[in-house]
Amino acid sequence: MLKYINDTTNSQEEYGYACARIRELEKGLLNKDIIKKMIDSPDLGSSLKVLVENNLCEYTFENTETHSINLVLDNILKRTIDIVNEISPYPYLFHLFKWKYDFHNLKVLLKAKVLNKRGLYPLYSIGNISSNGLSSAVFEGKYQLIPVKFERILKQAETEYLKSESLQLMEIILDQGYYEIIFEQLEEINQVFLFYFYKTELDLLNFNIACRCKIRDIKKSKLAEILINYGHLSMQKVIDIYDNSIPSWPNNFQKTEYFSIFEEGIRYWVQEKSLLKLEQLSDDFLLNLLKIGKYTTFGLESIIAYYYAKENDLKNIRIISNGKRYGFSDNIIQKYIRDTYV
Amino acid sequence: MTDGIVLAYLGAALAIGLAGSGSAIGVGIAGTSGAGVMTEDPSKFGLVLLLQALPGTQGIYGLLVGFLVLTRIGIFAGTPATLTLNQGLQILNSSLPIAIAGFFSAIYQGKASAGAIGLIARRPEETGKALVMPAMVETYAVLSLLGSILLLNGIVL
Repeated sequence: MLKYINDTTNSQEEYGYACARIRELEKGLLNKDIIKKMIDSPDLGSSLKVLVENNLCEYTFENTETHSINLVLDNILKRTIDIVNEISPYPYLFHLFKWKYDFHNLKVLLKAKVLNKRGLYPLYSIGNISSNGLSSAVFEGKYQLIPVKFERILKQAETEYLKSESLQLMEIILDQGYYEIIFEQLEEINQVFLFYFYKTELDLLNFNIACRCKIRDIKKSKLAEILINYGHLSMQKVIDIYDNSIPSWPNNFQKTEYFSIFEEGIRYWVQEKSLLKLEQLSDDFLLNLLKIGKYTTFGLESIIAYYYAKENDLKNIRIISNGKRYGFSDNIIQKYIRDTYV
Repeated sequence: MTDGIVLAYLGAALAIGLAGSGSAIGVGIAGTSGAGVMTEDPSKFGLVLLLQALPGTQGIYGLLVGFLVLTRIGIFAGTPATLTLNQGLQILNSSLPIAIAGFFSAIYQGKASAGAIGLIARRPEETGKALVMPAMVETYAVLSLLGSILLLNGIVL
């Protein structure tokens, strides 16, 4: 983790207040023991009680209904975003984090439109763009309430679906749009760590996209179109190895820090025909990168790390609660669980 | 007023001003972090205050050297000494250790205190260890104070 330290690490004194407050807030994050106790609990109710028993009182659920749990978790996410907004000396982090929810909403709405499934959608209300504005843009073609760039990405994704009839390709176009906006903002923000983090996230996503494309026999020429630029890894390298068999791919990344993830993830795919392990290891790798935030007294690393750690906790709670609800064994639930920040 | 006395005044002013400025910056840095912790847990006020106050000592050391200089040149007795240029330079030089080391050590002690405040936020039971780290920086402020006093005492007026 120390290799991510750069010139600006621990030298941005304007983040002193935020970092100290984050240290206190980090006590509300889940650790491995709590996760283990939750998984070992006999049912969903007692699993959720473990959180309150460990003084994590913000996780107080009225009942074990899916809707009730989601409501509490969504409120916690909203509160986390509000805290980020409150403690950040500059507002850019707040906006940067919220784009993810706009694109999530856009994916949900576009899927509903192309599959002709109108009704209630699980939309986030914490994006930069109001969900009503997005909804009228998608369904009624009223683009006044969304940025021009968003309109272009939306139309591009729709066109892609009409051409290929593939939801996955449509989603990839939206992912491209997401990173386009993120990296455009990063250029303005000019924070080394943010660049490093998003580039790493993108490398892992690109490898994942390449694997999925290969599994679905998508042509190499198409892959070149859908891989997303901006990452550390050269896209050409991924395209060059595309014709080889997937198990041989990791060897081409031996000199990169991703080698062990790719190797283990692909080994799992060979055995189980599932990319689950690759996704899990990628998430853990990013979380590990963020652990630099624990050692930062003056820098935005702590804020980013706290936000992602909280998001990761919510993901783990959702995995456990769904696993318990549908009666999956502890071992199966454990397979899906992500690493913890604390 | 001779050139010597002007230089002696400059020495006293630098000792008080620079060390005090460093302390103000250091205390400010630690205070910002302290405010962050207390927003979430006001019960940590006592511990935070202790850590915030640590970088304030350099300002006191600077003031002490300033007083010693002024006493040495007879300002408080009401009859300022007549100093040669050489004597004035010696007094100015004797003030520099605490002025320079006081200024920088206070800033860095403030940063170390901010880190220690983060430590007690997560692990209040480690307060003792948290205090030791910024206190290490104090060593060099004390050494520079000692250096200034020794140099000042060595001057023959």
